[in-house]
Parts: sequence; structure tokens; C-alpha cells
Amino acid sequence: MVSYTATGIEGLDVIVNGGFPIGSSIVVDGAPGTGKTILGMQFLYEGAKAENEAGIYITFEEFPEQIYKEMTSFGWDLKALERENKLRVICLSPEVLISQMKQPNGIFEQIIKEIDCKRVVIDSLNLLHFGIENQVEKREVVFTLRNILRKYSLTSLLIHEQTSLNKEEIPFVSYVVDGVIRLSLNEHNGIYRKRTLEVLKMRGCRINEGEHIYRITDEGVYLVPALSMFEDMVVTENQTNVTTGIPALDKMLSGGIPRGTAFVLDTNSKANYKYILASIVSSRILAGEKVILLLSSLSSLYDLEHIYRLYGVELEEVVKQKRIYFIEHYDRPIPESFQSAVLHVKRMNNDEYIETVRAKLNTLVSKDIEDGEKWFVFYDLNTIVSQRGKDFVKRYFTEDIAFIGATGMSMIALSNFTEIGTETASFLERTSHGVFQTWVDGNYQYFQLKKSPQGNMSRPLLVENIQTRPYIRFL
Amino acid sequence: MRGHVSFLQDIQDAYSYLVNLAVVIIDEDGNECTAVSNHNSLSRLFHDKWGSKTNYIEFLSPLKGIRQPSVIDNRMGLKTIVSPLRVNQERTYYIVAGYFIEKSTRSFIQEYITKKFPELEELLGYIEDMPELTADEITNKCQAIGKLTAVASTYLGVEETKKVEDENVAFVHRNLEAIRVDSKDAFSLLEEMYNLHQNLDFIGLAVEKENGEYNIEAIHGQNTNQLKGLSFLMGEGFLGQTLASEQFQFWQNVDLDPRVNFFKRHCISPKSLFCVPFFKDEHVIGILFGGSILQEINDQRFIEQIKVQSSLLNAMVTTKQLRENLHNHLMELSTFNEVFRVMTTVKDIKRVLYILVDISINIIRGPFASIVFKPEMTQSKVDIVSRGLNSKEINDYGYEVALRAFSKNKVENWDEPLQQTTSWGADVIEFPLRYNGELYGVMCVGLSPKDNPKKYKPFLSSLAIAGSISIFLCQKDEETGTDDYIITLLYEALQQQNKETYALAEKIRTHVEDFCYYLNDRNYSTLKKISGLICYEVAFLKTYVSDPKQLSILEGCLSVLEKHESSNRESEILALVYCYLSQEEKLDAVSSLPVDRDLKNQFISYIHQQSMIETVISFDEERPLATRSQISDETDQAQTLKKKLGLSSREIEVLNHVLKGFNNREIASKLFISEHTVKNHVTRILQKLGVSDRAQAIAMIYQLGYSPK
Amino acid sequence: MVSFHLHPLQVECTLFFQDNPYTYETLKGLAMRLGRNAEDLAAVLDQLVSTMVLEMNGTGDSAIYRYIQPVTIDLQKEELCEDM
Repeated sequence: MVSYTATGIEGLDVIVNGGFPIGSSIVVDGAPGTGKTILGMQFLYEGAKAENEAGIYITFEEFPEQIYKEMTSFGWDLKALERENKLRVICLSPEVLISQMKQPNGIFEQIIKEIDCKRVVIDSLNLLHFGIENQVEKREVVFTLRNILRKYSLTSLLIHEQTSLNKEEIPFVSYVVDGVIRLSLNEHNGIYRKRTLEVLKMRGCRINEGEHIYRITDEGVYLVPALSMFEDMVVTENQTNVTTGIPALDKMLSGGIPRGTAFVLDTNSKANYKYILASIVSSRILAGEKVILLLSSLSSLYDLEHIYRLYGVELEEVVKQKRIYFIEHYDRPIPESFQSAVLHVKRMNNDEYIETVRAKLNTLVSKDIEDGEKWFVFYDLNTIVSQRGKDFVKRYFTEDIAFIGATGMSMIALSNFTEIGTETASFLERTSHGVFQTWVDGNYQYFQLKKSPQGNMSRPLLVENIQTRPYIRFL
Repeated sequence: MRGHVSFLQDIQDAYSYLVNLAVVIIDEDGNECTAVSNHNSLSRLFHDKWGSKTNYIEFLSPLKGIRQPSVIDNRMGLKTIVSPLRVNQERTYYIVAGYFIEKSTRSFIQEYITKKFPELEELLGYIEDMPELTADEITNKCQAIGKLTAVASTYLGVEETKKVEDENVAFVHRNLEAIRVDSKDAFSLLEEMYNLHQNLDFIGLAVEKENGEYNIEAIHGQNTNQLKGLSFLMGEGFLGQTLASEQFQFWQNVDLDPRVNFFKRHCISPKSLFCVPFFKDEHVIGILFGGSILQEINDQRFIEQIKVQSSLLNAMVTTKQLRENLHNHLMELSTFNEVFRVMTTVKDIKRVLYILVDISINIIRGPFASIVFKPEMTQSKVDIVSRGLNSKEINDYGYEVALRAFSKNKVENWDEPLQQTTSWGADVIEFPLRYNGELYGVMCVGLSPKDNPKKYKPFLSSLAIAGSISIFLCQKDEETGTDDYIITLLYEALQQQNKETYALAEKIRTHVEDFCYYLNDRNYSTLKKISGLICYEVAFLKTYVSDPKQLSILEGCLSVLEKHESSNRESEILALVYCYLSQEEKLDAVSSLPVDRDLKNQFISYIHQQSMIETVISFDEERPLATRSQISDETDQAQTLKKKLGLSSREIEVLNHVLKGFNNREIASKLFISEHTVKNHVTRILQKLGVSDRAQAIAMIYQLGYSPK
Repeated sequence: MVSFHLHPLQVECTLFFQDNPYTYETLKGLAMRLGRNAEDLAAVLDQLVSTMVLEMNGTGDSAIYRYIQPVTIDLQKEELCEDM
């Protein structure tokens, strides 16, 4: 049974599904400036702070005093950890390290025992290899190193600096070590430099393949597992998440869609998104929120009445309580009991439309908000695009989002990204706090959380129809 | 001799005609120093046949004893006059003049030659032509040659003396220059002296060692190497005697003197010997010695030269030492400065104590060093940092020192280092760590047995003072921390007690901060911290705020408000802001304030800019979603943003990057500014946009129809 | 003839070890880190070992030097309290 230990970087824990296997030796490979030292030190710092695991950082070249100094910019007081015997920043020559490691009760063993060390970072393999020409010998050195580290059950990061000359070296070392993580720094569309992390190998771990973007922030390395597009996120504290009614989705969102955020559901016409939406909206209603619904061309109020009933919501009742309002762009029959709650906008031009809708919203919402009522908005952006044009969306959607955020309302908008074009789509992705996508591929429908204010992403999940509420399941 | 040949040749030529003989001058080694004058057929024959160096030497060897011109027979009975020519009693040349025969000896000689040298037939004919001289004639010729000898000797003597003197002068010049530019050491000077003086068979240099012995460090001369490295003591032999007498000494005929045994033991038997002591600060640090082995040294001038040259050597050694001392002293000073610099910059008392312990033990090389340190003046706890003592010793001794320093029975006004003995009998000097009348602790430095601490004291005392200052600085920094705490407390109290004044205080703080930012000067951190406190009575603040700088800003501000000038810019800024805000935000109010005109103008334009921004913000607040602008051109867009939101060009630049999704660090590197500055810009942008986070800012800017460049 | 009270290299070495207290190095390694001649450094290290600032493990070229942290003790005796 392999047990795991946290990597010190949340996103990385996600990628390797829980952490590094205890006792494994992992090469961290990357060009200068990719943040290897920071990643290594974060592994030790968080290990000491959060896991109460002591660690040692072995530097062959850098002076510890330099490292102490540099790491203060992440708020890491390494000297304090040293005083608590949770850390040692050790400075020695590679020869000394190897000879001391081999020696019974040598300095290495002494330190390991002294602080009950669990984690090690060695900076760097290149220097350990310095002066050794032969690849076989180099591999032997790493092999010896790995065996000793494993003997003491030390989870260790072996930093390897990539140069243009040694790019091929990692493959040969990777046979010997338990894992390989590669950090890269690439020009991205010529605009900014993109830092990515890739786990090339991790014995004993199911890994999320591919390149994951990370940033170096004031708190160290921050990694966003792939499939997320944007890092800036709204602050999630003080926000209560409201269930979506779909357990798997709630889990991904740490409980649900937070109040005050705007989400977009990207889908094409083939995919069945009705249940997803209905589950989300009805859950809001059940949670006591008031709702504004912009009616889609595809489902009339009669359809809605039927489908919400499946989720335990009698729309007629809600209308009576003045807790739901509709915006209708089409000439369709409307049940009598619903008339008072419908705002007809069919014949309005864009300016009239926006003025009317906002005036209505202002009267409806502003007083309520003061009274502590919560509002939820469903927008069918497909309808807006077809009725009002793409430019309209571009012009007003951010305002709407800002308004929603400011008033503590929440929103989900339905859109078809392929239909509205990449420009508008990426605009929507940028401006909204969360993005869901569902699509059909072959005989399956998939669902994916691509962006969320909590920073969580998901793999593509299979969508299965089931016979009980919420009538869908993500796998 | 070479240089004087022409003159010498001339007189030799003249005399040779005078005496009607062939004449030549040869040196002791058989070399002809002049060309033969007045050659005749006979002399040419002999010269060609026997005029070789070896023959000359053979010829001269029995003649070493002659003192004046003498008639000498050659192997054939032909006669020559040989006259020794002495130059300065040092060198001897020989004048040889020939050939002639004595009266009535011609046939006798001819017979002899015919018998003995039959191969030299032509000789007989030459002898036929030779004059037979009477005794008187020979005497006359001898006198003439004697005169030639006297003339040549005088001439050569003068020339030689001149040459030696020239060499000596050149030597002195050369070496004075060498001292000046520090290009030579004593040893090479010594070697030069050896080469300069022909009559010197050996010369050496002995230098004082730490144990009081003197050691021969260099020696020149044939077969003298065995002396190198030998040492002697004061009073021992000639050398030791010179040490004792501290004077130049010169002895002759020392072969039989028992004091020369030092040399004789090592197979050197000097005839004459000199010793010159040299000094540093009236203390003999070495001696130069030398002498002759082959013959006595009689030349007084030589002695004088040696004296001059040894003074030169002394000067060189002393200069070198001074230079080295000065250099070392400077290095020590810079090292000490480095220690002091590190201590004052670490801002970590513990590290300061470590440095004191480690450096003091480095200096004194004793058995231990400890610091007894009192971290809190008001508490009885002491910390001890120690190296070289076990914990029992630390406890016992540390306690003892703590009593001496901090108890009721403490040493009063402990300023000077005290020498003590520990309970286990170790000597220790205790340096008080005192600065500004405050005793922070004691630096205790253990002494090695019998070590004299005198020489370390100045250094250790300086170290203790440096340490005290460093501790003072660290603690002062901490106190600023307490002050900060008090300031926060005062603000909070205001918020609780007087909401209106608190609002004013907050406004003052914001404006002071913004205005300082507007002035683009980062130096007003103190002012920014305390600006809101102006709402309190200064007299009241005095009981809480200890930092005189903070108080003086506030007091200065009050005096400006009372229309007195103040030289403190921070006071002026605060007065401007306070005056403006407390008088219904009217700019007229500040016009009468006696502050720097430029500053006032800057304040006025700052306020104009501010009110413009506020207008925009309030416009946004009224109709949060209704701002519209149809903007086509990018520069127009930027202009509009500038106008509408009061964003500066730099802020727009930063905003552009924010919109592109860069974080602060990336923006900093793109714009070549610090991350901190970026943060400031972003904060201000958010303020101006009236939003609380970046996402909102991005949304708002998009909503304005603006897209990043 | 001339000696230092405060040897610059010795001080440099001491401060280096204080800054980097967990350094374990051979003479050669230290010479490289400090950028000093090994010959000059050897004497200084000997001195530091003799004053117990450093500890030496092993012998010869492979001997490893490390810093000995000074002992720190808090003293808070009751008698001391009363006396103060």
C-alpha cells in the first residue's frame, strides 16, 4: 500500500491525485527561472507547516543565506523553522554529500535523525554530476542517491537544471527515479510567458496528463490544473454556495455555485442541457432565492412548468409569491396565472429593451436586496444573440455581471460558444466567474467544469440519464 | 683599470723612452694592463715567446715581497726592473721594464745562451746591441721607474676612490628610490652590498624572533650557507655583543678572539668583522654583519660606506614594516568595520550576540567567551550565549555576572572592563555592553593562562561598544513596533469615541497618503503613519508617543496652523491637508498658511485633480450601469479613460496589462518597475474605478467599451 | 614580525558560518565558496577549530568543517529575581 504526502502545492496534489508517494525520489526538471527552487522550498515549507514533516534543503551552489533572503518574499521565515528543528538549509559539496551519505552515522544520517527528517530537496543533480562524463556513472550516482533516500523513507525532490546541452539527460535519469516533473517557460502567443508544469512520470500515482499552468505568486508556486482558462477569480470567502442539485457538480464546486457569481454553460443544440439548468435553477428557488428567467426559444412556459415540477417546484406557486419573473422575446401563449410575471420585450429595439429591463430589475431588485433577499438570473444568451446581436452581448454582458456581483445576485447564462464565434466566446469566458461545458461526442454526452471561482476544474465527465432526481449523473 | 689606460699608457710611454727600456704594467693575475712601450727586437722576441699569463704569474710569484723597484734577472741572466704598484693598499700591479745587462756580462751571457738556448740564434745578435749598464745607471733607471710607479699609483688611487665613491653614491641613490617605491627587499639589498664590496668576504642579516632569539635569515659569501638559519642570543659572541651594545662595531684581527667561535664552529674564520644593529622604536630588531676572511679590512672609507649602507638597509626594513603594519592595521580596521556593519544591519539581537561571542574568541584565542544579556530591562530574565563553557559553568558564572551587572549589589556605572576570576579559577575580562547610559549585558572573554590581556583590550572594548550600539538599534526598531501599536490603538479609540473626528482623521490620512504619492516622494512614511493623530491634543499624545520625530511633525503642524513657519516639510504637508479638510474643503483656506510656495501650488493642483476624480466616481455611483461612450480610436479611448477616471498614463499602461491577465510580478517586469509600485498603481486604479478587486475592474473597463492595446 | 589581532580571513570565515550555519565543507570546498586560497584558509580554520567556533570531522583532505552554534541558556533564577 503506497501512502502519499502533500506536495505543498494544492494544484499539484490534484494532478498527482493526492500527493507524492512517500519515500519517492522525484526529479524536478526545468530551465533557469522556472521556479524549481521555490517549488522545492514550498514542498519543505508547507511540509513543515501543514504536515509537521521536517525537511532538509541541500544546496551545492547557492548560499543558504541567499535562499533565506529570497524566500522571505513569499513570507517564509526559514530561520524560524530551523529554530523549531523543522528545517535545515544545508550547504555542502556534492562529493561531501555522497561520501557522508554512504558513511554509517555520517553527517547526513545525523541530521536526518536529529530533526526526524521526512522530506529532502537536493539542488541540484547537475552539480552532483559535475565532472562525470559517462552517462552510466551519472546514473549510478543517482541510483545510489535514490537508494539511500528510499532507505530513510525520504520523499525527495531532485532539482535538475535544464540547459540546451542536457535536454536529453532527463530520460536516462528517469529510469532510476520514481517521478519526473518538468517545468517550462514558453512564449505564449508572443504576448506573455506561460509557465507550465507537466508530470512526466510518477510511480504509484494516477496522474493528470498534459501541461498545467502555474504562476509564481506572493505565496509561492500556484498551480492551476489544466482545463482552466483564467486565474483571476472572485474572492470566495463570505460567499455561500448554493447547491446545483447535482452531487458530482456540487463536489467540484465545493458545495455549489457561490452567491454573487456568474456562470456560463456552453453547449450545442445536440446536448441535453435542460436537466442541468432545471436542476440548478430549481435548487435556487428551493433555497429561497428569487429568480428572473429569460425565456429561450426552445422551451415555453408550459415546458418549464412541466420540467420544474420534476424538481419539486410548482412555478405557478412561485409566481403567486412574486418570487419569479420572466422575460419573453417571443409571441407565445402564456398561462393566465403567469401573466403578471412576464415582461414582453419582443417589439422593443435594443435601447428600449435595455432601459426597460433595467428599470424593471431596479424596481424589483433594489429594495429586496436591502431586505436581504437573494436573486438568481437565468440568461439565454442564444436568444439575446439571435434577437439583439452579438455586439449587444459584448456591450452589456459585463455590465450585467458587474451589476450582479455588486448586488449579490447570481447568474447562469446559456450560450453556444461555437455559434457565437471565438471572440465573443473568449470574452464570455473571461468575464464570467465559472464556465461549464457540455457536448456530445459519438454516443456519449460529456460535461466539464472548465473554470470556477474556487479554482477547481474537472476532467471531462460522462453524462448519464437516470430515473430519479436530478435525472442526470456525472461520471 | 680599463678606463684609465690611455693616460697611463701615455706616461708609461714617456717613461719608457726616458729610461730607454720596454715597459709594461701587469696585474697580479698576469694580465697585461697596458701595451708594451718602446718595444725593441729583444723585448718583442721575449714577449712573443714568453709573454703569456702563466709565465707572468710564474715570474711574479717570488716577487710578492718586494716593496720598491728592484732589479730582477730573467732565466737568461738578462735584467729587468720590477716595481710593485699599489693602489689604495688593496690592489697591486707590477711595472716591468727591460731588458738590460750589467757591465761586463755580455760575453758571459752570450756563452750561456749559446749553450742553453741554441735554437734562439738571433738572440745573440740582439744581445750584441744591448747596452751594458753601470750600477749608477741602473740606480737612475730604478728611480725613474719608481717615479712612474708613484705617478701611476696616485692616479689609479684617485680614480679608484672616485669610482668606489661613485658606486657608493649610485648605490645609495638607487636604493633610496627603491625604498620610496617599495620595489626591493632587504635581502636583495644585502646581496647588492655583497657584490659592491670586493673586500667583503661575507655579509649577513639576522632578525629578531618572537622568543627573543635572533636568527640569521640571509647570508652571502663563499661557503657561508651553513650559517643561514642559525640563531643566537643577546650577548652571545660578537653578534650578541652588538645587540647588547646597540652600536656599530668593527673589529680587526679577530682570528684568535674567542668571541669569533660562533663563526669558527661553522668553518668560517673572519679576520675583520663589523656588526651594525638596526632599530625599530629604539629596540634592536636585527643586525647586519659582515667581514673579511682573506685579509684584514683597513680601509676606513669602507667602514663609512658600510655605515651609510646599513642605515639604508635599516630604513628599508623599517619602512617595510611600517607599511606592512599600516596595511595590516588598515585591514584590521576594515575587518572591524565589516563586523560592525554586519552587526548593525542584521537587526537580530541573537545574531549580534553570536558575533560578539565568536569575534571576541577569535581575537583573544582564549578558552571561552560568553555574553550575559538582559533582553527586557524590566524583567529579571537574562539570556546567556556562550562558547567553550559547559552548562554548569554557564549557569554558575552567568549568574555571578548577572548579579554583578543587574542586581541590587551591582557594580555602579560599570564603564570599564573588569578583570575577574571564575569560580573554577579561570581569568576573564568582562566588558560592559553599555550604550546611552543603558547596560544591556556583559561580554565575558576568558583568558588563556598567563596571557596578558593588555594588547587585546582596545579591540575588545571597541567590539563591546559596537555590540552595544547594535543592540540599541535592534531594540529601537522593536520599540517602533510598540509605537505603531500605540498609534493603531489611538486610531481605534478615536473611532469608538468620536465618529466624526475619526472620519476626519481617516480623510486626513487618505489625503496625506495620496498627496505624498502625488508628490512622488516615498520619504514620508512617518508622516503617513501619524497624520490622523493631529486630531488629538499634542500634549495628550506626548504621554503615549515616544518617538520625538513623530511628535515634532505634529507640533510643527500646529505651529504652521498658527501661522508660524516650519522647516519641517512633513509638518507643512500635514498642515495643508488639515487646514483644507477642516475648513470645508476650501482651497482659499490654505492660501494664508506660511508654507513653501511650491508645495502649496502642488497641493492646489493635487486637490484639483482629486475633485475631478471624485466627480467621475460619483457619476458612476448614481448610474452604475448607465455609463456609455462610443469610442473608436484607441488613443481616444485612453484619453477618455484618463479624463473620466482620472487615470494617469502610467496607470493606463498598468491597466492594459491587468486586462491582458498579467499578475503584478509580470507587469513589474514588463514595465521595469518594482512589484510594489505595480501594487500601488493597481490599488489606485481600483480606487479610481471604485471597485474592490481586479475582476470587477476588468468587467468595468470592458463595460466602458475599452479594450487593451 | 607582524601579526593580526583580528584576522580578516578568520572574521570572514566566522561570519560565513554564522550566515550559513548548516554548512558542511572540506577545506577545498570552503576555499571555493569563499573564493580564498586553500593554504591561507587552512591556518584560519585550524585557529577556528582551536577556539571551538568550528568542528572538524575526519582527517586530511576529506576532513569536514562545520559551525558549532554557541550555547544559549535562559537564566531566571529565583534568587536573581529577588536580587533585582
